[in-house]
Amino acid sequence: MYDEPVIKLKDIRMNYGTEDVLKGINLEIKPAQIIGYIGPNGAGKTTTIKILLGMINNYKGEIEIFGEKITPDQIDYKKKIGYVPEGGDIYENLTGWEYLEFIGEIYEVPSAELKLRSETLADCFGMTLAFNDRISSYSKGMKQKILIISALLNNPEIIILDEPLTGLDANSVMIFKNILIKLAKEGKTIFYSSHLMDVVEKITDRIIIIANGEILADGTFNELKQKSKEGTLEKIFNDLTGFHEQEQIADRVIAALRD
Amino acid sequence: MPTELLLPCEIDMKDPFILKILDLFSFLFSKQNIRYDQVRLIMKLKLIQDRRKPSFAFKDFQPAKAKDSNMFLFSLLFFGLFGLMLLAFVASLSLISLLLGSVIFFTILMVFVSYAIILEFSLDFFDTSDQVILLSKPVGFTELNIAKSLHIFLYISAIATALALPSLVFWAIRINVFVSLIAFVFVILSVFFLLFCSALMYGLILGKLSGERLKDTISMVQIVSMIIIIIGSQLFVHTSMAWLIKLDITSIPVLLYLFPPTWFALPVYMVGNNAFSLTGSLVVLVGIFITFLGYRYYIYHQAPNFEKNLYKMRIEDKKQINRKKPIALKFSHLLKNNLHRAFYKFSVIMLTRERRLKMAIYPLMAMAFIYQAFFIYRMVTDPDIVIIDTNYFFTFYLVIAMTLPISIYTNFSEYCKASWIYSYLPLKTPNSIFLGANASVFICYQSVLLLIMSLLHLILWKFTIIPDMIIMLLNALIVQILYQHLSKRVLPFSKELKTAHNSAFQHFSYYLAVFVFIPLAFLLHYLVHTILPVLTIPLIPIQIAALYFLLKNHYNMSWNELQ
Repeated sequence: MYDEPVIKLKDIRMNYGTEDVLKGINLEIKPAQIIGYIGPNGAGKTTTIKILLGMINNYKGEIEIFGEKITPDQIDYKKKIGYVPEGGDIYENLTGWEYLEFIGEIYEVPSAELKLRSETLADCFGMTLAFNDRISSYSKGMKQKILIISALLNNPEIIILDEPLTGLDANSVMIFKNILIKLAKEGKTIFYSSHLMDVVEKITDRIIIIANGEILADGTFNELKQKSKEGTLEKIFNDLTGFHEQEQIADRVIAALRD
Repeated sequence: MPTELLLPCEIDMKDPFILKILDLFSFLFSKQNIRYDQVRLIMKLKLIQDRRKPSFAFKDFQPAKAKDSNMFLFSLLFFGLFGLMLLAFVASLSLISLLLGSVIFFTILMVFVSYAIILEFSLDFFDTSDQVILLSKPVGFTELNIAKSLHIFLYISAIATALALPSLVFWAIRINVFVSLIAFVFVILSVFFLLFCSALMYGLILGKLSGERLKDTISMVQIVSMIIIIIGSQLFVHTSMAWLIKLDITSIPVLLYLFPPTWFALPVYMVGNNAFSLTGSLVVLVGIFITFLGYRYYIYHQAPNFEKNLYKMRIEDKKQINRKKPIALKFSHLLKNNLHRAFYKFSVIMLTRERRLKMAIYPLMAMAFIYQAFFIYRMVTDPDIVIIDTNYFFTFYLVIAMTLPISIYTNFSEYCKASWIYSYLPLKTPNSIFLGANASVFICYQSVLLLIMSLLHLILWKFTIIPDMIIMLLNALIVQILYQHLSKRVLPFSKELKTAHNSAFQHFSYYLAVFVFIPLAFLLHYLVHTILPVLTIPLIPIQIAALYFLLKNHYNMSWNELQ
């Protein structure tokens, strides 16, 4: 198996106007790993993902994917990436199948394979009956399932997930977690960005904590636990990000409502 | 002394000036038990949002500041220019008879305003984007609907004022300021009248129907309204002109009283000429009364129910909507490139399924068809004209001008936030995206209209104009590519289709195409046809070569051009 890092970020910096969103991110990710990428709101998680996907180009620093340096005009590496975005925005005039067919054709998945893959994955996620209905008639969870299926259609080597569980029911969450573990065993690299600490704690091989555009911690769950001497990932997260005011803030909110 | 700091919630949330004017009329709302504070707050929100409209694709690359409000100002400038043309009519007619001048002024103004309502503002009546946010708060249905209607009213009043201003200034100088003030008041009243008519019409349909039938009926009603406006205004102008020729301006034909423009024009005439009459005053009072009745009905019946009924727009009858695939999809096999085909199919589905887009496109198509059909009908029924001997087929260039703005609607979608997909897909250039979208809008809409109209012309001219028709159709394509090439590149389905910020009429490239490219194409064709007919056939390969060159040049863009 290819053992060199599949993703390398060297001193990635990014600003929106005067605001520094990323202040020098350095990362090396090896294949067949599930990486948990966690941080508070506005920490720079989605920006990192968008840079990796070539959706943002005006950053500073160097990116290597599959050992090759990425430049803005390079797109071939994208063919080996699957992405589930945060927010679940999707062109809802299309039916589930039409959307998957559209994505599959762009990724040049052969049509027979595309049909079989789409139907099988739709069946696995319980979407067969709604497959030919317009996405506008879907629930939030169903839309998310279509986005997940579309991210897997091209059998990608790297799967980037930004809050992928939004709207999914408990059974679908369990199915999805198992899929991720098995995909990693197949040699796929999974970059999982989320606020849901318990999922990250349970399925990831390595956890990266980011806050204010900087990496605060990087290691397995056990390594992080030893560093902070806290029990759960949530507490480790609070400890590392220096956030202990939750109780005082809750008191302030209650007081403000009483006034 | 410490510097005065703005709280975060105060930054750029200052009251738009127009709200201060609205405040003067707040008593009208309180009298009807309407919470003016809520209406004002929603209006403020809408006006502030108008100032900050982002495009969703590539929003990470763009500064947050939106330029759309400037585009609206740009379109006002053009309405002002149309106003100058209107002034030419009004001034010359006012010198003969102020009544005729004012009647023609209000006719043209109301036709323009009606078009603006149908072509650009219909979507806003049915906009439900505010409902989830506002109706979950203690905000009334009535207050939300009134704020929405007032928001539309502000835009239409601005258009009407820009159009009327030159004529109002003329009357102020020629007669007196009071007359032009009266005219302005009745311009605003006529906008109210047209707005109530539209709101009542839409409210009625919304109350009776739902789902796909509702949406189909709205499109149908828009088209029928256009036909009524075009035929009605033509009939009206003819009657007025016939009356002018007789120079019998002491008695007004009764037929004129039935047309709304007369109701609003009479006060200008009566005040300007000091010619008060019982009949005239009664007609004005009837006009005001009808507008007032419309207002009462709107406030008490329509406003509370309209928002409640809007859910019917979202009802989807799965059997009905999944019944068939768009025919245009069959043409996808003509595209050999896989990417071109994928984006073509995607765009066809988007264009043929998105109701909001269809509601904007159908009236434009109807207008192009009705105008030309009406013109042809008048020629055919004129006993003095042997149509086959004429060069009137050149009016086909007007159809080309009117089909042009349809292509801009590929920019918009209700689901524009989904345009993140373009930047994530493995695409070296955005050419396939644009090619798919442009081909789809041409096949789905523009070609249908061009082919029907060209067939109609060919039949009327007994197929003697086949080469000319080919030249005109090729010119249509050439002008279309030039127009798109000069327009700002916006990724397909990546912008929100909302209040008067989006139509082609606000883009300089459209006016360049209509006032420069199409006249040039016409002139070249006309010269060849009349002076050097032998060059008619050789012109066709030259056009094909030019088209090929333009297409190659146009679809040679990079991602950077979009940023």
